[in-house]
Amino acid sequence: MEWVATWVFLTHKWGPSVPKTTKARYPTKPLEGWKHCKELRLQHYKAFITARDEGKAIFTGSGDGSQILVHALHDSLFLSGEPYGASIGGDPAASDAFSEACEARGFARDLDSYMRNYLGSMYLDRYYFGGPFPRPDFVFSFHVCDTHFKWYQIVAEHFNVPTFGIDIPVSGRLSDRRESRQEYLASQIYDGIEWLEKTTHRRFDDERFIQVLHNLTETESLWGQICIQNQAIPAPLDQRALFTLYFPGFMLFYQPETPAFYRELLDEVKQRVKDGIAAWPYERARILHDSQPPWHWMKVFRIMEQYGGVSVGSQYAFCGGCSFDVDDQGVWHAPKTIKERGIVLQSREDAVRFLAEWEVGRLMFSVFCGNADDKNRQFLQMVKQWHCDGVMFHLNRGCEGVAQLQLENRLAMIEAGIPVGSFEGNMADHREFDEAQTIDRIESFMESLGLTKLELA
Amino acid sequence: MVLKEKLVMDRFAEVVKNRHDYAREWKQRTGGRVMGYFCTYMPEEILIAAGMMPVRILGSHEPQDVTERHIYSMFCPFCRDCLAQGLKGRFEYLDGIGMAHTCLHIRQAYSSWVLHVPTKQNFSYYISMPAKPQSPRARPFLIKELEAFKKAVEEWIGRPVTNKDLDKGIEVMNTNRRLMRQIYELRKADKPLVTGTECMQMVCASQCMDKEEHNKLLAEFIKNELPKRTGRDAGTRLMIIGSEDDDTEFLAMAESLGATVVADDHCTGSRYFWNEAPKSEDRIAAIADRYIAKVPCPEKDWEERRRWTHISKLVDEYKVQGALMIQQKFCDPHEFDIPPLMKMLKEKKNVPSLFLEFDVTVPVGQFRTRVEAFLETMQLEM
Repeated sequence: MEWVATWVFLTHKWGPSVPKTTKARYPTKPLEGWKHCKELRLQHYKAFITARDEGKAIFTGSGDGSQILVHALHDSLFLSGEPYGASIGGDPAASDAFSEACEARGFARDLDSYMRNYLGSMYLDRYYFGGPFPRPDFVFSFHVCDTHFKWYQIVAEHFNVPTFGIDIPVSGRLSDRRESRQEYLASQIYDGIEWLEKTTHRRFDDERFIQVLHNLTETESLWGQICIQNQAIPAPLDQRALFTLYFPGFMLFYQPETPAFYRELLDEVKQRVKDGIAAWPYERARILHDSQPPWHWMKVFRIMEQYGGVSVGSQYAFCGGCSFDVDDQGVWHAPKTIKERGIVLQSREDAVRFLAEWEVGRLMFSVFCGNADDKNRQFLQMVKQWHCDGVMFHLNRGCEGVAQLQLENRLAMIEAGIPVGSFEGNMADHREFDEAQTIDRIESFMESLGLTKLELA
Repeated sequence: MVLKEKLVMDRFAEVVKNRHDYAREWKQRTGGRVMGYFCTYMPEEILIAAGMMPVRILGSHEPQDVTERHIYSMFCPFCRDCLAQGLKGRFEYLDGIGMAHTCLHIRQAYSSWVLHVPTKQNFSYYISMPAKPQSPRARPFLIKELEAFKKAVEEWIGRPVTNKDLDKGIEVMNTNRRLMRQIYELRKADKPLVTGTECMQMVCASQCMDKEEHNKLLAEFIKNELPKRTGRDAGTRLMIIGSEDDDTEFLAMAESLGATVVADDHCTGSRYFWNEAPKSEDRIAAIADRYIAKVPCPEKDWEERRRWTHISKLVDEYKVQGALMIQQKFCDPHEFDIPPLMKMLKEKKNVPSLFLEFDVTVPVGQFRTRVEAFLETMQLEM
């Protein structure tokens, strides 16, 4: 069925209309903001090494939103488990040592690989960026995936530190009983604020909270605009770049350097579009990717490129760092900032209400809904808006949360006549990855799109 | 289904084995609707109040190949087995399907079911059951969710669900819980009057048959059959703990090795029925209270580990000597809990554990050897 769908697809309006060639079709050049982005990331992780000496409190928890509240406290650092586990995942030797240390304590090898890397690093008391593991003073985490708080429950028990979790409620569809879910989330946020003040003996600064929210929406808006730029042909950025560049937005939105960096990046990307600068000069087909990549083997995107296939984005890269606005026709737009929405946040109440609404509406959370419809619609929309010729699913054994519904999404794509390919792997555990088989799978998919391997110098 | 000549526990086993025939006959007999549900957070009180028979979707323990295109193989075999039942048309009699938010594995079975398995009346509903029932904010939220669910059910059946109806739903469910607890009490004895296998059949039967009929059978068992029982030599007193587990064949095997399963922490056991809905003028609030206070699945057991309290209490009251940790392969919530739980049992309760990873089918021969070795080790230590 998949092959039939592919044939139909290629012989109709969707098919790549570009002739096969090994000549570069577009100019390319390195991204100027790349180095700055890497520096921002490294600064963030290095900060934990000196945090104690600087009198900073260390929090840990899931990457989803918890730190919005934590950063309303002065002098706090937030170690988000997922990006930290991903960093380790990119280094197979470190990942082996850490995940095996976790498994030796009885935790199953099929649990979230970010978590196993993080817990192993904790058990071995080895911080991947140098020195001992940064002992958290508190655990504070949002919870939208089964893994989230169960992970930090173990961390809190290991360090015997106070802990608080906030449940982000999901329903059958993102739109179902949204007001009630917002109210539930808001009420927990108030409890979380009270807990933070009581437990840390630090003042929760409402002005700072509001400022963090402004930074958050500005950062997300800018990231959304950057992603929208990638709708251009040729794509100015590829998936590898997106996965690196989204880090500041995902983790460092609270600091003013991040929107400043994204403003510069947006200008640069716009200029690339204007000048026709491609991420990959041989772009012949555009691929939507699904799930986190295997961080230890980013070559998956190189294999596609050898055939002229460019991975132009994914729900994870787009929506992980941005809650897009969707209009009545289903079209995605970069989200408006608080100011652009005409909202004035004057009090804690205003801010909490806004945050609850923002979080409950996150498109990324469609993967946690009890119905595949939302995510299926999102895929179809991304394929349309980003002019994709096919979808490549990374069946990610390392993250049950994001891997949910993947096969239903795949079926929905096939039904819509969109070519799909898939490979099996694990985002942060190279032991669950078969390189030869993955190359075969990707090459077959590229060939099914009518592409042949480029003869590159 | 001819049940009357059989003893009650045999009838339960018969119903579980032939649950689809039972449900079809029930529909024919009563003209009522049958609503399928996943997991044990579905408020059956409301469904019974609406005159329906709720039935839990359970698997069949048969190898299958129909779910591969819907649910990726790294998700738990139970959720795939459940979906397989729908895809194979075995629940074709269902009028509707529902779920209250629990783990991401079974949620996918629900999601795929809604997409690919038509129900007679095309009704599906997902309740946003809070993941953190420990939060004081969970109760008011769940009340709203249950009110919305009740309204959806009313629209579906075309009539209001009155307080009187809800009283009946609550009473039927509470009676069922009370009677099953009464039977569980019998396992505390030095010579338990019921086996673990019988108890599992009893609870599974409760999940797939008319609750009022189940209640009658429970009452009949207590009144007429129990006095005739003499109990069995318990041997080693075991507890089973873990993921969804309706593998009675395994349990019967374990109980044939000089051991008796005297307690459990499973959603096909004590977690399903342990607490009742309190009495309240606000019936929906009472139902919400019941599910908030329910012995939690690990997925909902944070920040505090309240499940540990339940398990520890069972260990003490039922004089448990060893625990079998039943882990459905890939079941994340239990995979998080099992290592610290085994440690807690050993260090605080001096209860050794045997970890067993389950699939849809289990290698009984291999497991027999492992359980035998575990029991022998325990006997040496005792």
